[in-house]
Amino acid sequence: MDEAQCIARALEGDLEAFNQLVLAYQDSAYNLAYRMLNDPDAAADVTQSAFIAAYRSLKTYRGGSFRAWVLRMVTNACYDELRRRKRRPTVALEPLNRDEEEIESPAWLMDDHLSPEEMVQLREVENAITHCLQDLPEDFRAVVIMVDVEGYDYAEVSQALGKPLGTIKSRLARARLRLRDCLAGFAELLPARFRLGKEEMA
Amino acid sequence: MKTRLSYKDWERLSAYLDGQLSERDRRKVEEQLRTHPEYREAWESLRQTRHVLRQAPRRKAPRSFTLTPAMVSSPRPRPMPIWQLAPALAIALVVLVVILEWLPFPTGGSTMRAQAPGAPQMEALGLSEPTPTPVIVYWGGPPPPPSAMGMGGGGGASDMGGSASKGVVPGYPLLPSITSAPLMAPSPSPPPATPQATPEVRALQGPSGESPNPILGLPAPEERGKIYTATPASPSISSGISLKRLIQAGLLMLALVLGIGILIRKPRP
Repeated sequence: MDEAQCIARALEGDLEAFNQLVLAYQDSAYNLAYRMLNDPDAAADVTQSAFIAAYRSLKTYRGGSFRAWVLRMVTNACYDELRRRKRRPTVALEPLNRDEEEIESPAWLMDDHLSPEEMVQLREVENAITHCLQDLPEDFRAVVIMVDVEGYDYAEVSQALGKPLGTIKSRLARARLRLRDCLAGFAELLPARFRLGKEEMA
Repeated sequence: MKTRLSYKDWERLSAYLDGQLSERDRRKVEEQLRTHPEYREAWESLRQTRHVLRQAPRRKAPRSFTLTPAMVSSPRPRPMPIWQLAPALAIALVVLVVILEWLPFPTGGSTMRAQAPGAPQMEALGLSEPTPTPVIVYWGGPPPPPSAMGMGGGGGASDMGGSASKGVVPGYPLLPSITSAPLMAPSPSPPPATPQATPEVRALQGPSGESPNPILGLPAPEERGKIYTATPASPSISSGISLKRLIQAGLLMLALVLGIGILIRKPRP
C-alpha cells in the first residue's frame, strides 16, 4: 500500500492504514523531537502525542508532503513542550556512569553497529552539536535541524514550519553562522575529519 | 583590504551551498567566489559547518509509536476549570461587595420610606417632598370638628367644614395651608374631649420634657391652645438595608468559601 492509499484509508478512519504512515515517519519525527528537546523521554512523549494529534486532525491535511505535515505536528508539540519547560523548569534526570557521574548523551541510543572508536568520535561530535543547537533560538534550531541534520529540502521545511521560503533561507543562514562560531570552540575536541580548519574560519 | 560580508551575502552563500539560488544569483555568487577570497573563506566555513551537522548520528525510535484505538478515542471532556478561576472570582466578589456599599441600593434606604403615591409627581413639579405626615395633637385646644372624626357633618363651627377640616384627621396627608390659622385659633366652644390615649399621644410630652398631666392629658394653662406636631416614627427602613446587607454577606461568604477552597485544594503535580 503506498502513501496516498494509506492517507485515503486513514481519512476514512482506518487506524491500521494510519499506523503504516506512523511506521514510515516515526524515526524522522523522533529525531526532530530529540534534537529540539535534547531529552529522549520527552522526545518520545512528544512524538507519540504528535501522532495522536495528527490522526485526530487528519481532515485538515490538504495534500502536499505528508512527512512535512507530520513534522509540523511534531514541531508544534516541541514548541509547546519548550514553553511548558520555561514555565515550570525541571532538572532532567541523566543516566549515571560507574562513577555516578551524569552521562550527558546516553550511549545506548546510538547506532550499535559502530566500532568503539567510531562511537567515541561520534559522541564527541554529538556533544558538540547538541550543545551548539541548544544555544540557538527555537525557530532557528528547527530550521537547521530539518535542513542540515535531517537533510530535508527548503520547500518541505517551509511547509513543515508554515513559513515562506525567504524566511527559511534567512533563518538557516543565521543559524549556520551561529553554529559555525559555536563549533569553532570545539575544534580541538572534534575528530580530525570534523575539525574546521583555522584557515577556513572568517 | 577585506570586504565585510553582509547578512544578505551570508544568506546568498548559504542558499548557494544548498543549490537554492536562481540562475542569475548563482552566477553572481560564483563570480564573487572567484574574485573575492573572503567570499571563498566564508563559503568554505559554511560548507564545513553543514558537514559537521550532517555527521550527527541519527537516533532510532526507542519504541513503536503506532496508535491503538484507546489512544485515539475521544478524550473525556475536561471539567470546568473552576479552581483556576477561583482567585479571580473571589476578588471580583469582594470588589462587588465594596461597590454595593457605595452604590445607592435601589430598594433600600430613603427610597424605602413611606412616600405619598404622588411624591414623584410632586418632585417633578418642583415641590418639595412633604415631610412625613405629622400627627396633630390638640392640647386643650379646639376639638376636631365632628366631621373630621368621620362622624359626618354638623356640629361645631360650620365654617370649619369642607376640605380644610379633613386635614385634622390623623393619618391623612395635611396640606401646609390646613395647619394655618383656622385650626390654630382657640375656640370658645365646649371643653375639649379628652383625647384618646393612643400610643403616640402617650409618648408625647410637652416642650419642657415633662407632661403636666399625662393621665388626663390636661396641659398647663400656658400651653393650652398650642398645637404640637409629632413626627411619626420613621417607617422601618431596615427591610431595604437588610436586603443589601444580606446580599453583601452572601457574596462575602461565597468569596470566603472560594478562598478556603483555594487554600485546601491540592496543588497540581
